[in-house]
Amino acid sequence: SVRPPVLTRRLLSRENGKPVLKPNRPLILKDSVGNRKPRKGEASCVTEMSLLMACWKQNNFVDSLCSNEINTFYTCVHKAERQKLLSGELIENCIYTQTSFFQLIKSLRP
Amino acid sequence: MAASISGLLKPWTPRVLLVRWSRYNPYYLEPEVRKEAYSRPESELSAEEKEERELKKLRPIKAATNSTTSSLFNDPVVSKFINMMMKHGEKTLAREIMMQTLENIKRKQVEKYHKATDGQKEGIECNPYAVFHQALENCKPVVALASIQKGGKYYQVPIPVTGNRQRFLAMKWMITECRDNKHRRTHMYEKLSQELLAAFANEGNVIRKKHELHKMAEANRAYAHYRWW
Repeated sequence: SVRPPVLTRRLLSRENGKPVLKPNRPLILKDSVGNRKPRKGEASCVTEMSLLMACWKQNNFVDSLCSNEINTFYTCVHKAERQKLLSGELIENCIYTQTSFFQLIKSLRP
Repeated sequence: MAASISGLLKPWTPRVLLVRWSRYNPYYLEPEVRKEAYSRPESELSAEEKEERELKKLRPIKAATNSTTSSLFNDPVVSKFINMMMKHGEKTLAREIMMQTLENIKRKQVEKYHKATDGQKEGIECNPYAVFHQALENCKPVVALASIQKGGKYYQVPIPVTGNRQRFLAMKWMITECRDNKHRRTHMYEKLSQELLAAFANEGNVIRKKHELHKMAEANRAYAHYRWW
């Protein structure tokens, strides 16, 4: 096993009076970094949503007059969902429980 | 990548056979209930449909639920609505209410048709199923609000809503509105037919509720970036 470096060994030794440090884990550096929080993505389809809301504001929230914007919004949302599933990040981060695994399988199955 | 994941599902039959359970291994395929799918001749099928048929010969199929039929009148949307209306497992009562609602809609529309002038007659939809579907479509919200925490505070963030969630919200609003906000001595089928016809014409309390949700989403559009998906 690896010994701690010289200065740390001085702080841990009892030869010079009481030891300065009383660690509960070995003070040895690992050769890998721990898990960071997964990077939060950004909101998808914000432009389409803002266009849709502008259309609504103009037409007093009547849906029949804004059908074009609604259709583009839906296509964007479906594409974003599909992309999110097919990208690797779900596989890396989410498959820890059986339910999430089976949900992913179901959504990927054609 | 998708192939590698689905390759992990090997052919597997459980020791206890699943009959009419609600949780199946995703290896099981959905049953095909429609008669037209089986009456097509071999020549009409494309390559992928032939492949699908070959696959269905080998894979286990889920058991069809009691409420699915291969009749012409089987409508999944109507079935879902009946299930949502049902209380204490009384499916016959819920189904009876639904049938009476549809009959009521038909009566009102036919009355309107006979009283209308020739020019207006084509515009009146007499098929109650078409009225029901269109009314639900008109009630479905496009965006909804979600409570998202950022910096210690909770914000109402507008999020897109699709598919099953939309359908569920439309049906739920319809049923709760008919149960709570109408005169107590009217029958449920009467209340439902009134509200469905109003929704078909883009009026009424459910449409108003949808518009209010859209307005709140529009008011909170600045927080749209708080989403991370």
